[in-house]
Amino acid sequence: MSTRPEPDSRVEAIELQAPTRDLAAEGEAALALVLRGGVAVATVMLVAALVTSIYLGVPLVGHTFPVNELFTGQHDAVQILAQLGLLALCVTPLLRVAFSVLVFGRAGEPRQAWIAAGVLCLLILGMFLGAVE
Amino acid sequence: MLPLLFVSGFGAGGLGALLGIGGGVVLVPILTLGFGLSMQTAAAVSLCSVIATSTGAAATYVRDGRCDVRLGMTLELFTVAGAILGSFAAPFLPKSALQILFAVAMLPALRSMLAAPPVESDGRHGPPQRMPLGCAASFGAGALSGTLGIGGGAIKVPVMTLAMGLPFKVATATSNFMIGVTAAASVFVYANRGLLDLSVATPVVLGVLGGATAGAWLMPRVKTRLLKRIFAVVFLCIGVEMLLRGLGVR
Repeated sequence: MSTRPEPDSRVEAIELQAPTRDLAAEGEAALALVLRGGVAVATVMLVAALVTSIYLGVPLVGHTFPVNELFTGQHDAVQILAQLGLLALCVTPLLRVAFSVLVFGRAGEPRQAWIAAGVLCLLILGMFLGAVE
Repeated sequence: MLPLLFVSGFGAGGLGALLGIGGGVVLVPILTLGFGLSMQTAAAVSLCSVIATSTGAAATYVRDGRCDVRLGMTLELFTVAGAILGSFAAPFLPKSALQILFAVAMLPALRSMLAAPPVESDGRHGPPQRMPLGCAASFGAGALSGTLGIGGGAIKVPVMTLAMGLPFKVATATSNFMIGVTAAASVFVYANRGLLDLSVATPVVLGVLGGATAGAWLMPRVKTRLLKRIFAVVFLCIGVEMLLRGLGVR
């Protein structure tokens, strides 16, 4: 005697045969890749900045500068590499939150998606607030 | 100075991984008391380091499923708001106030060094309790993080375990996720105001990344209990030193 429930319709029959996908778990696995990727990119750029500084004999000096000055020729390659590396590092958590909005949305958790979107908005606000005098 | 900064970052990252704390409570005193940097500069660099350690460890926690992302994201609404407020206020606070605040903020870290290892549960837990308290504590932890450049985990973990009823490992994994996002909220405020020194942040962050990796490798091979007691004394001395400087005694 069959132990499987008999499907009432063709649609239900297809659903019973299809493997269940845990969208949240798949999303979190992809998220782990995003996090590791962000740290890897940042590390490569920061190492490149230090190596370039030592190799070319250009001292690594100065503070962070506005992003729109990156390619205006006002700053040397060492400063640009260091800034890009730190930017890549600091943006990774934002990417994580943005990713979470998508993951929760796809997993059918709109409340959590909206909460994550709220956090993302606050983070973006913080990115621009410091420039306000 | 570059090699010294790298070694400092390496030490802070390694100690953070060994002792189960963020690197901020180690790094900020090193940068201010050791290198003579301002509290704001030290806080900005420390926030980058907190992001580095948090993001590196978070990938493992996410893969293992220990992090309660839903709770963390909800509390993060309050933590990020507090962090932005704290980072805005920091440049306007006198150095003495920041030093006294830092001394007070070391108390939870000191407590975490002395507390007995928690009794581990099987990881399952019901819905979090006392959410209003958790949200308020998260706002406070975020404000401290933004002001002082620490992660705030030493406040968040006890609140999540003692007040909200989470298992210890879930609380630490969730806290680890939160401190990286919190630090990212405030680091841009510092950077946009020209307070993030590239020559300091670059070697320190690289050192922290290396140290955290080394510390995570060492942790199963080292008796952390004795190490924690030693560093409880170190943190006490640092806290007293910061307090005395803040009060103008030194």
